[in-house]
Amino acid sequence: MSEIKKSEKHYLTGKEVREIAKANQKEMRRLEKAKKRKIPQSEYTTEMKDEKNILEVENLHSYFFTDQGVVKAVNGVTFNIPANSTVGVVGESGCGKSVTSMSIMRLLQGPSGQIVDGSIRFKVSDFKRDEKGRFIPVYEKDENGDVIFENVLDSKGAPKLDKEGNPIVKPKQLLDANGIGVFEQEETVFDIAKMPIKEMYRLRGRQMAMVFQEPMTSLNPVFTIGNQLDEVTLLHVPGATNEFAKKRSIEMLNLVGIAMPERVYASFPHELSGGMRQRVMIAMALAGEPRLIIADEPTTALDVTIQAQILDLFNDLKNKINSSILLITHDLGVIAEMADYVVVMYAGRIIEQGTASEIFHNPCHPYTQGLQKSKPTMKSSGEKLFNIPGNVPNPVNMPNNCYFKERCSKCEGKCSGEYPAMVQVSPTHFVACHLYDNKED
Amino acid sequence: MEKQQNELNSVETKKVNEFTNYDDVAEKQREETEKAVKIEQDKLLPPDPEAILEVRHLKKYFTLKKTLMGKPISTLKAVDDVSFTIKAGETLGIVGESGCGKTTMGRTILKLHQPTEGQVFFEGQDIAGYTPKQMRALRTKMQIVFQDPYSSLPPRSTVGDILAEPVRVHNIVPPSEVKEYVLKIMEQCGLRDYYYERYPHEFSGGQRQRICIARALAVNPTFVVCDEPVSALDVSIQAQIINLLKKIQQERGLTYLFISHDLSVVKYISDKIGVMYLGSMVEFGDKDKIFNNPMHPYTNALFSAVPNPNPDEKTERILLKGDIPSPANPPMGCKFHTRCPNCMEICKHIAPEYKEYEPGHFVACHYCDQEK
Repeated sequence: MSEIKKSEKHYLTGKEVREIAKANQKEMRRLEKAKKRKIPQSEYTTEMKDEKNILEVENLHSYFFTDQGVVKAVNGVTFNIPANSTVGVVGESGCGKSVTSMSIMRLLQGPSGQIVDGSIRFKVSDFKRDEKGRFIPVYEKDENGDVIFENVLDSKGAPKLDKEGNPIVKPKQLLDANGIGVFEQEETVFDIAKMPIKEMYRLRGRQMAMVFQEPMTSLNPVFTIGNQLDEVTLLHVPGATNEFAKKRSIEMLNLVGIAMPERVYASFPHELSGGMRQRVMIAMALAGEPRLIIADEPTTALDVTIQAQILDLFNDLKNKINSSILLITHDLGVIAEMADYVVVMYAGRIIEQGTASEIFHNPCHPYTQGLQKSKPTMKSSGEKLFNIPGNVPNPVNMPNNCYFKERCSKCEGKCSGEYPAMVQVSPTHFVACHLYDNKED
Repeated sequence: MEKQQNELNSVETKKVNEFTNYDDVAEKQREETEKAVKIEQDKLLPPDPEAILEVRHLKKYFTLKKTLMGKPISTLKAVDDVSFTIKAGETLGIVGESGCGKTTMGRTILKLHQPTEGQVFFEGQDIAGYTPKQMRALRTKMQIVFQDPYSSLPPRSTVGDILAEPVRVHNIVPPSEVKEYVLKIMEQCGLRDYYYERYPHEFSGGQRQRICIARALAVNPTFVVCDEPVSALDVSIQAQIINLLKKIQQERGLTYLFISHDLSVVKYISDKIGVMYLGSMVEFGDKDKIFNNPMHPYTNALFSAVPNPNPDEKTERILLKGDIPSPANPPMGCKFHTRCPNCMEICKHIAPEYKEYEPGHFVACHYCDQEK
């Protein structure tokens, strides 16, 4: 074909690939090492900028080192999640919304996926530890404030005696309503991006939990639902017994609206429908009573009727266990129903953020406007749909100008220049577009 | 504990049955004979001359279990007695949850599945009994766009080959003009001419869907089944594909059977809408009639479940409890009664009749009967 443009080269030569791979190797090794090193807790303990927030993501950069080049999946993302609120992240596939959530959980697939720069500050209520790393129990006290002592019992239930024949005593640990020992907790702020990967086990499940995108593939097919649910409790509640774990799991299944929790508890994932599996996934995320739930497209694989059920469930649960939700989706309707704050992402960057009503009634960025206009709604009439021309740009070797330039209908000369900075439109509304440069003052 | 509860439940249901007047077995028999009579009567009617496609009592059962002698003992009624007509140049949108048989119906109409029973009139001819050889000649007139553009294109052929193959097989144009013809089709579908020698993996989802549409259009069809053509695509790309489908329809006067679970998309593109639940059509009619005056409780619930993109307006939702029942073992009576907010005693035993309530608006529901 003579018409084929030679300039439109869509492949790399072997030599180029090898060069890229070599450079990537070096960088990946350095980052992998940093992930595994042992550092004292003081090095990754920080302070929140705003006490109201539960999570602060600042200038996060997560890259994938591929043989085609470095894919800057998340390229300088900054946003906050206030306590007890829902933050929605919208964007098309490939805009880095899932990678953002994976970065927060530190679940990026290594060695190619790495957090390169930035900080993720997360407020946790972690167990206090003594110098040996053990949890410090809370002891029961009498009216005078003195610690109550009890006898140490042997396996037969008789009190143990020391060499002189006196019973051995130990301070009595405070028990909660379920008979599980209470340990001292403290509120600390961790910088997740700097944490050694092993320490993340302390946070995942108990402090933050994730509802994954595909309920069909995220459950383990060889274990029963109960087995998988119990695991969460057994791992994250110190001193939990099997009976307590089962009780808790069934409670959670009840909470997410499963009709026969005992039967579901004993069944395998393949016996459940998509909606049920997604509920189980949510129950699993809730079993640790996390402060932050990350829901990565929780309803994309489901039907509208089931979607409505799940969204209602999320709203209920947010109030019940008092946690925050980071909701990731590409459906603007879902965001409008659920979110208090909205973050719009495009090609790894945030292009607009604000409260839900600001984004929906006064969208500033041409991309946000286009997204809204391109979706037919139940109220729209039959005129031609607005469409954003072209595709999402290739994530490798992005130029340093507005990424949306080629598809934008309001493009001006300025847009070929540097990437636009975030402009404040209202106290909570920010947009990254040259159209609003002058409105700053 | 659980067993006891189950036993208790069954005892309770037995009690309920004792007190009601419905004899389920006799009722079922009566229903079946009535249906069979109706089907026999309808068979004799001539096809609607205005319609390009008329479907009468279409059924598609899949056999799940057989006896040793090959006699089916358990069947999955994927499509169970569906009838409708489409006029030339119209778009019929089919909505419903996953597993309700929309896709199976689309494929059965094209005879990609052999229908178990029923008639499919295409341009006045009953094609239900056609042999594959007879169907082959008709394939130039009816085409399909599949759901997933990632798996429905052959990875080892170039775009040119993919599009030229149907043209060559059906002798649409003389062999010397095939390439020119394909390039013309590509241009119509918004594909650049230098894509001709590229492979499918080099394209994004939206471009692939354009290739699929171009492949369907290459043989000059008059009727196209679009099986969820946009559900695998991004929002901004969805709008491009929908606009393309509409543009082509205006240019060529195509008739679409548009299958989707996205109500807003169906509302945008369709002239008529059919709502399916568990293999049956529960409501059918003009778009305006269905959207302004949804009668079946399932349609109502489906509409109210669509998220409203206005954060200040909170819509009153009709939440359906539970999941869609298994089509292998559908509930007695009205199939929707297990989830219906307006369920009555009669719904649990007698299947409602599919009736015309106002001209061109069909509903199958006992509750609507009573309302009248």
